[in-house]
Amino acid sequence: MASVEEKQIELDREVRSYLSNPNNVEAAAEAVLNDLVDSVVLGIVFEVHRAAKCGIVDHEDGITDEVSKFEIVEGADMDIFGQPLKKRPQRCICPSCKRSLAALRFAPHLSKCMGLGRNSLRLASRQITNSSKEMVGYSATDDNDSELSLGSDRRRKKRVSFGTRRPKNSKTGRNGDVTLETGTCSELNNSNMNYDSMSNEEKKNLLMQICGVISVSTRKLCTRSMRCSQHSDEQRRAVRAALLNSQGSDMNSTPDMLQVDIDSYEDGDGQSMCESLGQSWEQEHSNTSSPADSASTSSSSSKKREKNTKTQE
Amino acid sequence: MLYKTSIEQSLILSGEKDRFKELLRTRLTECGWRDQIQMLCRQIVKERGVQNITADELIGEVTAKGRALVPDAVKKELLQKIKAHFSQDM
Amino acid sequence: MSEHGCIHLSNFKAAKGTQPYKVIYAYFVACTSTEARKRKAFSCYCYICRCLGPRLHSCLHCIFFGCFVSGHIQEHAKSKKHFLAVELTYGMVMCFQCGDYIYDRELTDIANERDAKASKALGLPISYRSWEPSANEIELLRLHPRRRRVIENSTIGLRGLINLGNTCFMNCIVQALTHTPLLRDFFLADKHQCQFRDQPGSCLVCEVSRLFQEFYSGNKAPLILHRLLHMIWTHAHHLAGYEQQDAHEFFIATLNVLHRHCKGSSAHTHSSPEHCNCIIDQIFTGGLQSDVVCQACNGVSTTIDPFWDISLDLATDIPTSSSESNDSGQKSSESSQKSNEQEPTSLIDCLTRFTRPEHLGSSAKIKCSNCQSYQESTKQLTMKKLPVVASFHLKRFKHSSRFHKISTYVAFPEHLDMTPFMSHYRNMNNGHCGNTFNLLPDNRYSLFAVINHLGTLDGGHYTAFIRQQQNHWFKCDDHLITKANIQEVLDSEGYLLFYHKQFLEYE
Repeated sequence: MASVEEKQIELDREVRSYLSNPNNVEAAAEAVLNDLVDSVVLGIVFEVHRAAKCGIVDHEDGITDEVSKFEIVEGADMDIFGQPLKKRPQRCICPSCKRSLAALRFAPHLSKCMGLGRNSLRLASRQITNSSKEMVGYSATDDNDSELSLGSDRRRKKRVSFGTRRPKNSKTGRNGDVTLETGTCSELNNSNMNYDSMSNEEKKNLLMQICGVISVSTRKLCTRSMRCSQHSDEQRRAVRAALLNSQGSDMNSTPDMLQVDIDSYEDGDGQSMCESLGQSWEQEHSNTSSPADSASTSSSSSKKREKNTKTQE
Repeated sequence: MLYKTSIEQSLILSGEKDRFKELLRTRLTECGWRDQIQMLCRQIVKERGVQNITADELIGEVTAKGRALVPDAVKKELLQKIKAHFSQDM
Repeated sequence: MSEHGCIHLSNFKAAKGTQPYKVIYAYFVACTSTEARKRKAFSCYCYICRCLGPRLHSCLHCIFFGCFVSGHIQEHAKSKKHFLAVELTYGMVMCFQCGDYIYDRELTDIANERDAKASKALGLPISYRSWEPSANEIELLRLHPRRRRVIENSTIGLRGLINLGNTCFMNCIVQALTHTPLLRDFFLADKHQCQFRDQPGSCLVCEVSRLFQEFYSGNKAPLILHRLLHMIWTHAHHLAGYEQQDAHEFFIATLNVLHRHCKGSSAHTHSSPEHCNCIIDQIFTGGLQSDVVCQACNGVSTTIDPFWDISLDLATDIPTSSSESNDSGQKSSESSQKSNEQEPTSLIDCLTRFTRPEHLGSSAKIKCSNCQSYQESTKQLTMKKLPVVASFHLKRFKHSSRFHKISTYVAFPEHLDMTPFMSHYRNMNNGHCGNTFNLLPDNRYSLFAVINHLGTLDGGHYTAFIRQQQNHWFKCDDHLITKANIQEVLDSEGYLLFYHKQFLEYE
C-alpha cells in the first residue's frame, strides 16, 4: 500500500500530464466550476430548508399588508403618491412657544421665537428702547440669550445669503415703525434724553428703526422713519459712523449695522441707501471665508477644507 | 471521468477548492444571485408547504436553475482563475 | 418544530455523544489542517462507486462513505440499519427514518465553530451568513405578525417634506440621510440607545429615528420637520436664523450634532475622542492622509486626519489672499487662469487634482525634522480609509471679490472606483497581487443621492435626487416626489454627491 506521500506525488504527475493538453484544461475547468456552483446552491437550499423546518420563515413572513396600497403612481400633474402637485396649506405647533401656525411660515417664526435672526434682534431691542405692549408675542428662549450677540456676530461675519430675500411680512417691521412715529412720541423723547445713557447695543438698535439724524435746533434725534424726507441719507450715515467711531469699533461691527439696515430696506425703505450699504457689505464679506469653512462645525472637517482650499490652485 | 476525481483530489489537497468556493460564493452574493436563489427556494417551500417538502426535493428543483442564473462575468472570472491555477504548479 | 433534531438523533447522542460528528466534521467537512486535507483527498470516496460526490455522505454509525445521487448511502443505511448520515459538503445530518435532514442546535454550534477555524486556517474571511432571528426576536415576530412588504415600485420609504420658509436645504439633506442604506438599517433595527433618557425631546438621534419610522410608515402625506429644525437650531447656533442656508454646512452640522448625541452609546469607546464608534463615525468618517516629502532628504512626514466629506475646488485661479504661490513665483490675477491649468470637467478630474502631489514653493518651506532646517517639499493628499458613505462637495460658491456661482457642468459617474485615490495604491508601485482570492479591499462606490442648487446666489432652491431599491431614482422637490431616471440625475449640475460603498467587508 503506497504511503500518502507517494500517492501525492503520483497524483500530481497524473494530473499535470493530463492538464498539459489544452483541450482537457477547458473541460476540466468547466467541470470544476459546475461542481462549485452546485455546492453553493446546496448551501442555500440547506439554509432555507433549515429556516423553514425551524419555523423561522413563518415568523418572518407574518401577515403581509396589501401591497397594492403602496404602489407608485406615474402620471402627469401628480406625484408618486397620486396626489396633485399643489399642496394644501399645512399647520404645525411651534416647539418653543406652542402656538399653532402655518407651516410655511414656521422657519421665520422659529427664528424670532428663539431670538435668532436679524428681525428678532430688532424686536428684542425695541423691547429695550420702548415699552410698547405689542411685543408680547415674541420671547427669546433662555438658553439662547447669553449667546445672542456672539452668535449673531459670528453668523453675520460668515453667512452669505443663498436664498431668496423675501419681503418681510407686513406685520413685523412696518407696524413697529408706524408706532414709533406716531403713537409714542413722548416716550421717545424720554429715550432721547436717555440716549447717552443707552448701551451701544441699544443705540445701534435704536438707529435701526429711526432716522436718527440729530436736529441742529433741538439737539434731539429725529424719530421719523428711515425714509424721512427732512434728512438725507448722507446725514443718516454720518450719525451711524459717528456712533461706530466713538465705540472705537473695528470693521467687524460694521456688518452688523449695515446688514440690519438692509433689513429695513426690505420693508420698503430707501433704495439708494440699500445699494450703497449693500455694496460695502459685499466688500466686507469678500474677506471672510465661505460658510462651508465655518470653524464651528466639526473641527476635523473644517480643517480639512481649509487644507483643501490651499492645495487647490 | 477518472481524471475528474484526481483533479478534485489535488484541489482538495492544496486547499484551492475551498478558496475557489469562497471566491465564487462572494461573487455570487455581490451580484445578487444568492438572494435570487434564496427567494426561489422560499417560494417553493411556501407553495408546497413546510411539512411536505424535503431538502432533496428542493435540491432537485433548484440546482439546474441555479447553474443557469450564474452571470457570465462571474463564470468568466472563475474559469479564468481556475485555468490559471491549472497552468501553474499544482 | 425547531432545532431539536429528532428522536433518532437524540438516542444516538445519548449513546455515543457528539464525538463521532466532531471527528467527521473536522476531517471531511471543513479541514483545518493539511493532515486533514490529505485524509479527505485520499480516503474520502464512495465505497461503492469510488466517486467523490456530489453529495457524498458519511455514515454516522460506522466508517462508510456513500454518495447520495446513486443511492449508495441509502442502501447502506437500509442494510446496516445505520439510519444517520452526515452530508459532507456542509455537515448536515440526514435521518433516513425521518426521511429528511434534521437540525440540532448542539451540532450546529459545533459546525459553526469548525467553519470559523477552517476559514482562518486558509486565510479567508469568515463566510457571510444570512441573518437569523434570535430566540427573543422570534418571540417578538410571533407577537407582532403584521408585515409591510417593500417590493419594487413601492412608495414605502418615500415622503415629501414641506418647505417651512426657505428650508429646502434641510429637506434635501434629510432625503439624502433617510436614503442612506446603512443608516436606515441602523435605525429600523432599533439600534439607537439614547443617552438623554432623563431629558426626553432633546436627543437629535431619537428625532431622526422617528423620522425613519415616518418614512417607512406607508403614510403618503408630506412631513413637517419643525421639531427637527428647532433641535438643530438649538444645538448648532452658528446655523440658526431664518435665512436660506448652505446645504453642505447644514449636512456637516447635522452630522456633528448626531455624533455628539450618539457619543457613549457604543459599548467600547476609546479614550481619545476621534475613536468614537458611533454609527455616524462608522458610516461617514474616513481618514485623509497627508504626506509631506522633504526635497532635501526625501524624508516623509505623514499625518492622518479624519473627515466627513471631501470639498473639491472647481475654479482654477489662485485667490489673491492665498499664502502660497507656486514654484515659479507666478501670481495670477483673479480673473485669469493659468495657461496650463484647465477647469475640471468631471468628478474624477477633481479627485485627481485633489490627490496629486503639489510642490510647495520656495516661499512655503517646511521645517524638516530630519534635516533640522527649512526645506522645500511636496505635499500629497490621499485617502487612507474611505468611509462607507463618501460625500463630495463641489465648491460652487466661491468668495472672491465677486459673488458668483460656478455653474460649470461637472460630470459625475453612477459608479466610482476610488482605488486610484487610495493611499496604499499610491504607495505601491506594483499592480495587484495575483492570489486566487483577491484580498485587496474593494473600493467600488455607487451614487445614491445628488443635491442640486438651482438659481443664483441671491435667489435659489435646493432639490435632491435619491435612489431607492438598486436603481429607481426619484426627484425630491420639497413636498413633491416624482419619478426620475438616471440620465436626469447624471445630467444635473451636482452640488453635493453621495456615494455608498458597494460591498461591505465584515471582520
